[in-house]
Amino acid sequence: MSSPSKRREMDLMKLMMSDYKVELINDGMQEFYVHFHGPSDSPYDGGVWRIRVELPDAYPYKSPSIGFINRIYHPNVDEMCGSVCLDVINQTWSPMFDLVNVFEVFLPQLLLYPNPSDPLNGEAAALMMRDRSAYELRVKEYCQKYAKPEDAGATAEEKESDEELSEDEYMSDDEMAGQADP
Amino acid sequence: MSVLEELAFAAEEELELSADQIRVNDQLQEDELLAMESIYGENVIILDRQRGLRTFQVHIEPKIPDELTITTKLCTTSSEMEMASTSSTDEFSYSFRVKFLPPIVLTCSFPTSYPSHKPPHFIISVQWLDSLKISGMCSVLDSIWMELQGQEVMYQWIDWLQSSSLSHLGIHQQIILGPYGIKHAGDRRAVSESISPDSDIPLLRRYNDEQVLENFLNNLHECCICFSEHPGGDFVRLPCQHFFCQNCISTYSDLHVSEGTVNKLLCPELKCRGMIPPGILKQLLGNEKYDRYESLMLQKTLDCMSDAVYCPRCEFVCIEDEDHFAQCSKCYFNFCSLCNGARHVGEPCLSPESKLQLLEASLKSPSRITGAQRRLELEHKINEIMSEREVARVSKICPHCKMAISRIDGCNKMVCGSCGKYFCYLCNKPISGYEHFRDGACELFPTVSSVQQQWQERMNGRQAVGRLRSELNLGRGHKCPLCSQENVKTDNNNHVLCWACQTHYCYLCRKVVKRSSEHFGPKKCKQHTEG
Repeated sequence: MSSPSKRREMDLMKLMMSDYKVELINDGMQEFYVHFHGPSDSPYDGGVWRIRVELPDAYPYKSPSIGFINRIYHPNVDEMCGSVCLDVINQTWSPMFDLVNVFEVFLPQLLLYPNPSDPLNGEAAALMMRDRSAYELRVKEYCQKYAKPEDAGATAEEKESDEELSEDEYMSDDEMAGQADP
Repeated sequence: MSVLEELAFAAEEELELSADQIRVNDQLQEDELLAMESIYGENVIILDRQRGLRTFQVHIEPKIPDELTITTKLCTTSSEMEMASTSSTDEFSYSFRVKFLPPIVLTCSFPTSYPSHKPPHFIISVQWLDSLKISGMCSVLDSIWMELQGQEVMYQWIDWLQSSSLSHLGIHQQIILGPYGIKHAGDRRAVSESISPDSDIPLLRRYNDEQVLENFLNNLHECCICFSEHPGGDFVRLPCQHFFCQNCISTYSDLHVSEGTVNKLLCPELKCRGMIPPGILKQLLGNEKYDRYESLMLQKTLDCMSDAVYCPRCEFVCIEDEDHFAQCSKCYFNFCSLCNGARHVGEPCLSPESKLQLLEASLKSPSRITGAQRRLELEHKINEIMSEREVARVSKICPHCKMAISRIDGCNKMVCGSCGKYFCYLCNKPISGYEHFRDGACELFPTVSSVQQQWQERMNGRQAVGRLRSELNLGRGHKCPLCSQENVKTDNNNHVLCWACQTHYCYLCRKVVKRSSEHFGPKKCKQHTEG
């Protein structure tokens, strides 16, 4: 790979300079947490989520993995472990995409326009198709319950151990729809 | 050049100077030329003396804003002389942007009376200005001399031409080419090389493109993927004009070809998604990987055509009909795309068992088709079917998507790895959840648990280690009381498990140990001793 660290440094710096609260996990620049606010013109408005980003070795040629630490109700996010369906990220990924792009463009778009054809959370997808207003209400409920600013700060420790186990399933590049554990 | 000669000739007639004066001028001229060469380098060209006078040329690149627009009005009427009277509907203008302009060429000749009395003779030649505008420049040069009379003036002239000439002419963002076809008026020293839009436009564009390329190659640029700096030559430019450093675009292409995602191998620039030409890909990937790329592209395209299938015999691509039958146009084999066997109208596909039986029978019977070749083919076929059988032994077929799924651990409620739906591993039926195991015939957890299975495997592993260890310590161990295989003690523990027959015995007294706590103790054999 051609100087991977420079690109990572730059991306991380740009993210920090764009006023996103970033917490590094060890100095390897492989994974970190970012505080993300729901886009204002969506039912996710007002929610605050702690998002875990993991940069693979082949970054930027391969897309990062993204997971929501505190719970979110969204067709393309697994409700239990918070991982975002990798296929959805891969569809639009390009090496020119940087982290700021992910948080300014990709995630807001995903929240505003979920992709019902590849749902990790089948129930949410079905609800969205069936009854849009009920879906939005549910989203807001979840925001109230799980996406308060305190939730985005406090729940890190508890969730870490859970995440470690199920995160592995989504690290692969297989384009699979989500699996529930038997 | 002839104009210059004429001017020089005309001027010389007028003055008579002292030899001293001529010598002083001569020295000053020489010094000035040297100075100019050192300042402007290659842009100063010394020419042959004209009538004994020093003659040279300076190429002056005018300072232009970042980008300049060049516009020219193109007339649809044939006669250019009529331009003034044509209505605006017959005209349309063509514009293009440049970063570089061909230089202003100033050709000069020093008279013997320069710099004491007379200015240098000069002509100004410009590719992209008309003679009227150039005449304006000549007048300014004259006035500069007037102010500096008696001193060297070249540097001031060049400086003015370089930095102020365009703004003086009112040119800031745009140059309008022409007017064309107007009779030459104004200063004789003003030479315009602007001939017609047909010749000017290509010339200006080509000059710009060449300069842009050279500028690019000579400088360091930052690659927008890896953010490191490389010299211009290290970059690969795509037809969409986006460029990336060789390393990045190679890695990018390599990754997609290795992973088979060739449909995404497009220009990385966001929103561009331009194509990467095969020629460039070939250079980046090398022959082998490029071949893989081509075959993947073909496969992907064919996969899009859902009724394309591959002939089981020659792998040529064929189109199947609604009944899943197809005929290969290369080898003429009529086959069924579901079971890859010969076409069987009205009958269902054969199971692997029946296929195997048929094949084994045909292998034994005297064959009409001669040769070891054919036998080999049949052997291959048999191997294939044996594999299918083995797959059937260790896995079950998902009732929804027909993918073979192997159960390694956990319960019998299976989530298909391919389609994500549930099925029961025991009876192979689709299920909705745990209900199926509550009152059905199928049990949720298998009788021989996987834990026990793992333990067995571990034991086998231990056997291997034990044997190895005793082989290494040959002579230093002693024989097991039951099977006489050599065993070696591990970490001073006298309770030994024979690797060969799995008997527990005591290293000290060589008796079989049924219960460790009964055999070992302070008054009996000691459990841990050295040696």
